[in-house]
Amino acid sequence: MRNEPILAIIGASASASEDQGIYSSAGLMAEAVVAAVAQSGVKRSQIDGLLSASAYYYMPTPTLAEYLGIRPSYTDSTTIGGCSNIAHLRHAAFAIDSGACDVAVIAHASTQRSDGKRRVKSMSEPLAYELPYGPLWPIAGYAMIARRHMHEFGTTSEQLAEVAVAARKWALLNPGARWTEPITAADVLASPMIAEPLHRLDCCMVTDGAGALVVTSPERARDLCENPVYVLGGAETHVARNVSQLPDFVTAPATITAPKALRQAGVELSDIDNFQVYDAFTITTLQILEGLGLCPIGEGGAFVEDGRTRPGGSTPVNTSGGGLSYRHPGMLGMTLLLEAVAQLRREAGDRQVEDSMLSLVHGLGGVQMSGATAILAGPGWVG
Amino acid sequence: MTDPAFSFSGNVPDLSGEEKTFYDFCRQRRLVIQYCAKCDSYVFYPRSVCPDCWEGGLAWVDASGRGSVFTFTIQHREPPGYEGQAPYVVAMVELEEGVRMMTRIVAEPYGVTIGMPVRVAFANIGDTDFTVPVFVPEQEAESSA
Repeated sequence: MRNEPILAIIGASASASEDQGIYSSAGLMAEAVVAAVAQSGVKRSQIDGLLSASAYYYMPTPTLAEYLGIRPSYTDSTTIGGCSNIAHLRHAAFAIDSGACDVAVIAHASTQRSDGKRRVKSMSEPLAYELPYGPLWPIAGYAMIARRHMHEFGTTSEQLAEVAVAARKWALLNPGARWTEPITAADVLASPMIAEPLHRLDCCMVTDGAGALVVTSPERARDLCENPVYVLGGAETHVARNVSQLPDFVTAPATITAPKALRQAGVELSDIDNFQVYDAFTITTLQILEGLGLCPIGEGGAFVEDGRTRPGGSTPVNTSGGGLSYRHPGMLGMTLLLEAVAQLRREAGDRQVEDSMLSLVHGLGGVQMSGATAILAGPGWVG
Repeated sequence: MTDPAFSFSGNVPDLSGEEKTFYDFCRQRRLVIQYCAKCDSYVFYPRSVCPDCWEGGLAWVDASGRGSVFTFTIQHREPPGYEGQAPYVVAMVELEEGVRMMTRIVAEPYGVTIGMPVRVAFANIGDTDFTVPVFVPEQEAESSA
């Protein structure tokens, strides 16, 4: 018997104006919200919940609510880095289950490419014991994690490069992807060093990006929408804020969140049809695949090197091309969720993973600071 | 020994409370961490309460200044405020006392290895008196003593 879903996604959309520089972050969010609500079968007057995280707004939900001309009775601006929107799914499930709201919108947007600074936008306070040293944030943190992984397990730059190569192969199937030149591991290794051992092609791009999800209870969803995507389970964890406080540098937060999310969903890791996971850097993906339990900690390099995460492989990972080849708006969580929804609605075009019924979405915040996992199921999950 | 006069340009954070206390010690060229008597363990970064047992009133104690490189990166790009310094080594150093801190290793970048013994030195940020602990290879520290 299947577990009851905890939430339903009844609308999901990106913004049509990314990378054009014509709208602010709130403007892009509003555009995505309107598009997502149009799919959902609800009217704007029915939206009484709003969840958002932002690198632009100190108080993103009041900002967005005002911009949209709505007055929600429940909002949540939980900001735990790039996985915030993934955590918001579970928060929305709690809020809706408790009666705090009935229909909620989850939104994120970044204009970091249009801003022209070619840097990850952040409102973070400068961490007093780390930022004075001039670490390139967050690359230096993940570079130190990668170095440690290589030291403990013998992971190689070639193995890390395979993560970028696989992402690019997926991007070649995605007309929306920004980076579409075919690459090889040799190209990754020949690209300039940014923070050793990470090369430029080990690092994600800096783009705009905006997205919104409309969510409600699974019961209501059946009456509102033809093709709801269900959230079966979720979990989050908060590990550290400063890089120095990470327990061991090689155990990803996924080790904590994935088993909890799978248990709540009532499914096994082997049931998952596609994986949408954080790939700000090649090492990020490698450690998440280990943390999810697809292979033992330390064996991620050997796990990916046979190409199994590429199109046609046994373990499809980041089917959009991910942050390494599709787009990365600073907080990748919404981008990952939108791709999972596209796969589960069978709207992913040439990159569609056949018969996808279950997606696992996993995000990170900061430098392994936090993590959130969600298990999503396609419309056919509920008969 | 006399410390070489290290300095690099950079950003000086706004400090308050225990952060200010820590960096006031650094200005005196002392690496001071905290000790929790109840846990018999050292604490870094400084806190009002021990993160293991929540006991307050942690003691400020001078660290040995000796440690080893836990991991590091050689940075080839700099964030704003640090232009012109690459390549430089940003590292995690584990002190003998068992705590880990971010720092820089002031040394030939390609001579740095994981596990390498290092000793504390101090660097000024630009022409300010804001002083941060950095580390140098132990052998260099000895030979210049």
